[in-house]
Amino acid sequence: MRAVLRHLPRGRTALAVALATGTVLSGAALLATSGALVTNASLRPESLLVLLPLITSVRAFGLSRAALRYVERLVSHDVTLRLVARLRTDLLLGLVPLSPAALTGVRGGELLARLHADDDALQDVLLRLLAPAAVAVLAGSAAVVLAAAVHPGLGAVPAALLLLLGVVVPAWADRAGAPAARAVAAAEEARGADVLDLVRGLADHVGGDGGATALAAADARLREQEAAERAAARVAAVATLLREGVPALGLVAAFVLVGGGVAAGETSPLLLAAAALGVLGSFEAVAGLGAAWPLAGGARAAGRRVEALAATPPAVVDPEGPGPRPAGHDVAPVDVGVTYPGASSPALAHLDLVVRAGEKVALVGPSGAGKSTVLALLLRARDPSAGRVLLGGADLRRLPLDEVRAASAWVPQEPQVPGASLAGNLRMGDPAADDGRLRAVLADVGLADRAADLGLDGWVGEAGSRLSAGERARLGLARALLRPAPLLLVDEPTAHLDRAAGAAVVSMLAREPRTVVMVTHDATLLDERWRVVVLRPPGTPPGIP
Amino acid sequence: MPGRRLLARARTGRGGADDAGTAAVTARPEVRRLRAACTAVAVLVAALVVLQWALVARVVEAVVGAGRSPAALAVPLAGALAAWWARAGLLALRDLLAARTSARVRREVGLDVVRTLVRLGPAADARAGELATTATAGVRLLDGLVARYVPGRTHATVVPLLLAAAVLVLDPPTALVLVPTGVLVVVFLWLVGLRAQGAAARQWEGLGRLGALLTDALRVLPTVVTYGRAPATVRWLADVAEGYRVATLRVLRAAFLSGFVLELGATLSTALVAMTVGVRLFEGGLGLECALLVLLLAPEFFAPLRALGADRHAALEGRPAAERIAALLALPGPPSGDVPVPAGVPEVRLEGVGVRRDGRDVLQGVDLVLPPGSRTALVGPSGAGKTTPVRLVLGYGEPGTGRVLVGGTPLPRLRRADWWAAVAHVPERPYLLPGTVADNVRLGRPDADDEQVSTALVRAGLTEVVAALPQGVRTRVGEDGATLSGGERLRLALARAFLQDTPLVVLDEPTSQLDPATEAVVLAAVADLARGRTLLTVTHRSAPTALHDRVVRLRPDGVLVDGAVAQAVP
Repeated sequence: MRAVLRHLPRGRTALAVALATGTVLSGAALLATSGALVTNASLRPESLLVLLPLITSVRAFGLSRAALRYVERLVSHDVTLRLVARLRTDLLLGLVPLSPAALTGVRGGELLARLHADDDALQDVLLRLLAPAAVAVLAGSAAVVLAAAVHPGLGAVPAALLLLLGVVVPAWADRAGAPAARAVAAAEEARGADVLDLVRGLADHVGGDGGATALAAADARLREQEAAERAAARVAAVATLLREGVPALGLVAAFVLVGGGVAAGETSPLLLAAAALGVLGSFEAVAGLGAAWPLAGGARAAGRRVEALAATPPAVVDPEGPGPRPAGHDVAPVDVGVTYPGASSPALAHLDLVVRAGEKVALVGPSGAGKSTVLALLLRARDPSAGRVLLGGADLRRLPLDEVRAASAWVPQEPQVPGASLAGNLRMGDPAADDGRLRAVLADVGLADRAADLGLDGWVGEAGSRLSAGERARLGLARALLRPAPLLLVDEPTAHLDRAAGAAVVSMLAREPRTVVMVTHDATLLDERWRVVVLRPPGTPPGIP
Repeated sequence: MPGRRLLARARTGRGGADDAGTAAVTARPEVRRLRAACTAVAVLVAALVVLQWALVARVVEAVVGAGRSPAALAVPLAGALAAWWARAGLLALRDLLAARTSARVRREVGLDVVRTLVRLGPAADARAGELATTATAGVRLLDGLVARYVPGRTHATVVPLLLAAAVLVLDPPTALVLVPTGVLVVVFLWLVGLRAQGAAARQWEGLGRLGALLTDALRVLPTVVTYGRAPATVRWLADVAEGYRVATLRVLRAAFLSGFVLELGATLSTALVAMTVGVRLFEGGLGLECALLVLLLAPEFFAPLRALGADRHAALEGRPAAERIAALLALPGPPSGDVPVPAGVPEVRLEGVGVRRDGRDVLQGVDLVLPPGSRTALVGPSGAGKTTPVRLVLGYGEPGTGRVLVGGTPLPRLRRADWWAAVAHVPERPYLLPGTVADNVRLGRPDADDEQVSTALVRAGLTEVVAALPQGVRTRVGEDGATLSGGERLRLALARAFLQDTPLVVLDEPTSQLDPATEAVVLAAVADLARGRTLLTVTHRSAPTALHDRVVRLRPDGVLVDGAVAQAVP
């Protein structure tokens, strides 16, 4: 929650809360002054002038309530938009040092899904949680003080009842409803997974048993969910009963206490209806808390996770002082071993390799031999657990991160294509490249025709969905070719291409003047220009392919 | 009453009746029953409101006017309290009924959606994500429509009308203040307000879309960081958010006006009632009890209208969901006839088949015969649309021209479910359900015994792989087979096909993700599977073509030519 509070613009937040409190108090005052006005008029004062102050107040509160509410909504939405923008920028800044290591693979996918959910949970935290809580405290206190001023005993009535409706009832409903709410959420989630499984495996389900298993499973899941929702509805109905009924207790208590005073001649009769209606109006102070309570737990947890993320140590860090300058662009892993966190066996062990500047090296070997891990090391996406990686004779860990990254252009196996234009994707490689240069590179990777269809400014679709897997691979390659880096690191560039296109890409890479390190499983595409390095999974006896 | 019609229009927000999707939900018998119950509750609530405030007014009159002590007024006070709690109970009951009805409707609609998915069959898989979203999130959004909008709309129609009638009887001059203000507010809302509110809701939903933008930025962050573009991306995202904030506030300034008008109408007319009855009291034309009663009824007149704003937002979300669900339920399934699939291994024949997509011929004039027991490899450059003939043979789609014949019968005349059961299709990335290895094999034939399952695993060359798993065939494969390698997934799908024992086997790019050693193992299993069946394989790799007795090539212009070419087999 601290993450949220830090980003709240203080002045504007205070203004929003003050306006909301004013709205609630205006409503209560409108009711109270109306009651007083009608009572006073019925007492037939000697002149209409006596009623004038009350008439003016009634009119003023009627206007101010609507006006305050309008301004309050604008201010609080403005604060929310500012808050969300700051939170998101912060999140992104926090993830930059953790990238790329923490964001790749299955774990990376889970992290992204969770961040998206947390972002959603924190989005409404001001409008639906913080502001209603602050308003309840401020407006509620004001109501208690005013009631006590009318009649000494009356202050306790709104105090107790507001506490009941604002704290006790929502807390009870949240607790009593929690098992049902959890059951509903679990059933929904399970059903979502079921449906996704059914849709993905429709051919197999329909071909196997005509979908009977899937239908029976869906029916059972839906019945589970309905039962859980019925249980949740019972709790909600009790909460409705209390929310609607409890204010009557305040009204009656006000009549008994103030009415006693009026009958005894201690209290002005004008205050009877005014106090009763004012107490009634004060219940609006806690109106927003019923919905706030269930949100609180989720928002707190989301806030904690976002904080924890900022505290996660990154996989690679910038060196403290400036290290030695690299001499040239030879790269060389020296006796390198990598064991992934939580893995029982190393992904790579005792690797020695020298790649001279301008050399073309193909890394081949079975799945699990650590081919992609070598690229991650050269890129310094992660550090070796043993040994070191040299660039121009200098340990990568002693060079500034920016410098290491500027030295290489990386093409992952599934290039990450943001939902932007074709040109926008390409200019990630070189922001200064002109259209002619972009077209030339697209032609080099065999995307000239597709680019002509789509246009350089054409949108590539969400996550590049308007492109085929092969086209995304070529786009990733084009982006890397544009990048002015001496070292090209390419992971399986031919996996999604047919043989002719794959051969053309490999041949183009062989013609590159700069160093190329390419991971591939298709050794038949390589000619004498390539130095083939065969990797074996650690633990495989040498000599057995 | 024209006011009532205006009210109804204002509620739908587009000056018309509910659309077909919403109507399909609100016309369900349980929703009709809910509406009837809500109407009854609304009538009783209106009566109790009048009773409760009448008793309160009597108490005030007795204390202020007659100088009596509240202790002597226990009966009217208890009566007011009872009426108040009775009203609270009715509202709680209404909420309970609405929530239960909503739960029931969503269960039934949810099941209908799943039934439809099964009816549509694999033809639907191209839209998998969209269908799954409609079936889950879409059904969830119906809650707003049934549990909130239906009760809210009924309440806002009945209660203000009855209260207006009560005020008209009690004190006609006050009714002259209330009714015109009410109508004015509704008219004004209809003219500008609720539309703007819709725009505001849409704009606010844009915040969620901005969140998607953030997710997109995070997804590509590894590339962004390694390319040194992180600062630019952060700046860009901040700029987008700021631009969005400014645009949103501009929309909200206008949109919140409708709420302002509603609020102003309600508070000002309450103030107006207080002032007019005050003056008339002063002049002696009115008693305190009656004056207080009509004053207390004024906010009650507006309360349901004010509540409607929030309920309408729920409906706003539910309405497109209802529409999407109705469209999904109405999707025509693939044509299915009543001719049984011929026994044995039938001949499959494509005659003059043409398919156009995006203004391009994917297939044109394709004639392809798959004689019983033949093994055909379909090759061609990537992007040439090699998967299209497979979809046609499987009956997942219809050709634009020409026809597909099975044993001489046009495919649409066959019993569709039977034909699907007669074809084993192994896609490029086979689907694995999140159960055990055995569950996944058994999906091919749910009634297969353990013996048959293990035979299928042996024939797919998985014996050693399964033996190495911690619990053998009872090992869970994880979410979509996360624990298996590409080659193992494929062989598991082949084991499924062995068990399914169908006359026709269709393989889609069976080895594209595999290294040469694994490819050899998979192809051996494929050769075994193909015995005694018709095999159709789509591939862009050369190795699989060796075990076929015929290679056909699809040219980029959609024409099928016979024979292997140097490009496909080196």
